[in-house]
Amino acid sequence: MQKKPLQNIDISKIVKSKTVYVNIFAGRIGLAQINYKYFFDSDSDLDNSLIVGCEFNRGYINGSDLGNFAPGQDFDPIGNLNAIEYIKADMAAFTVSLVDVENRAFFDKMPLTCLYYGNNGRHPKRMNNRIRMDKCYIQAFAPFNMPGTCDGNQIKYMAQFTFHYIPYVKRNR
Amino acid sequence: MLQPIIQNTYLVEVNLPTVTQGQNYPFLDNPNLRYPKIFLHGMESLIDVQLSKSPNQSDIVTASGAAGIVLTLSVKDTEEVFQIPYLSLCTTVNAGLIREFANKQINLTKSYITVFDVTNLVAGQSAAFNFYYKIA
Repeated sequence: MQKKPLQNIDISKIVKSKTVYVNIFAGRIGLAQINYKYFFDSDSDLDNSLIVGCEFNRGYINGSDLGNFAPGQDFDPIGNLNAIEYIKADMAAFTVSLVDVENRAFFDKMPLTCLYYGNNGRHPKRMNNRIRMDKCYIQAFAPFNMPGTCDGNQIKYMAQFTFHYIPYVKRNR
Repeated sequence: MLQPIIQNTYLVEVNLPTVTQGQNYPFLDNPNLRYPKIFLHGMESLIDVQLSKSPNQSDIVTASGAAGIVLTLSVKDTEEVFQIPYLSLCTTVNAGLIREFANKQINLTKSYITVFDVTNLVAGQSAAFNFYYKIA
């Protein structure tokens, strides 16, 4: 059955948003690697949901250093955890691929900078796809700098995304 | 202004093995984008501040180098989008707006970029595009 396109959705009026993280930790692979796929975790809220918008948030680095962007434009629901640093200066090295429930990458190697809200005239990318989170991944094509404090055992380096979505409702028939 | 609802995107690169003024550099065949499989409804060109390396590990053109590049898109055998400047499609210099097309059924292998000015372009660099498309 053909999907009916959702026209003229104003993302600011979408009530459901969720911020998720992708972990890049040295313990998994030994070293930060080019071309390696860092997968999202499965998410019960987002899986099968209709994603209508997506943003990449650079997040805080240790709760400070927002550069030219005022507080509030990026946010950090975790708080000021010294153990976590977010992809920020390296974001041009990374792309993201988003996969739908039919196992097809509807966003294929989209640069993170293109999803960065602050970078694109405040225009978030809009879409209309049911997502399968655990098949989505980020991938670097250029060398990037892991935080110097990485010791291979702890989660240190993260990419932060916010998805705007219409929840999946399972109907009883 | 609302942006288009994106159904599918694909990152495509065109490598510049040598840089010669007036030279055309065609897109390579791509099974996902093969004519007449897709309708192109939007497009975005990328510069190095957006993506530093291409999937093939080539450097992406800089904004100053991209100023010498134009793009031609063919629909079937007709060049319907003729020599549009690369930077006109670049969102970082256009307030984030994606350039939209009227669902063009593009023929990728007959589409190409042309170098008008070699200044600040280096052999081995790649031009990169985000194709926003619907499956026909």
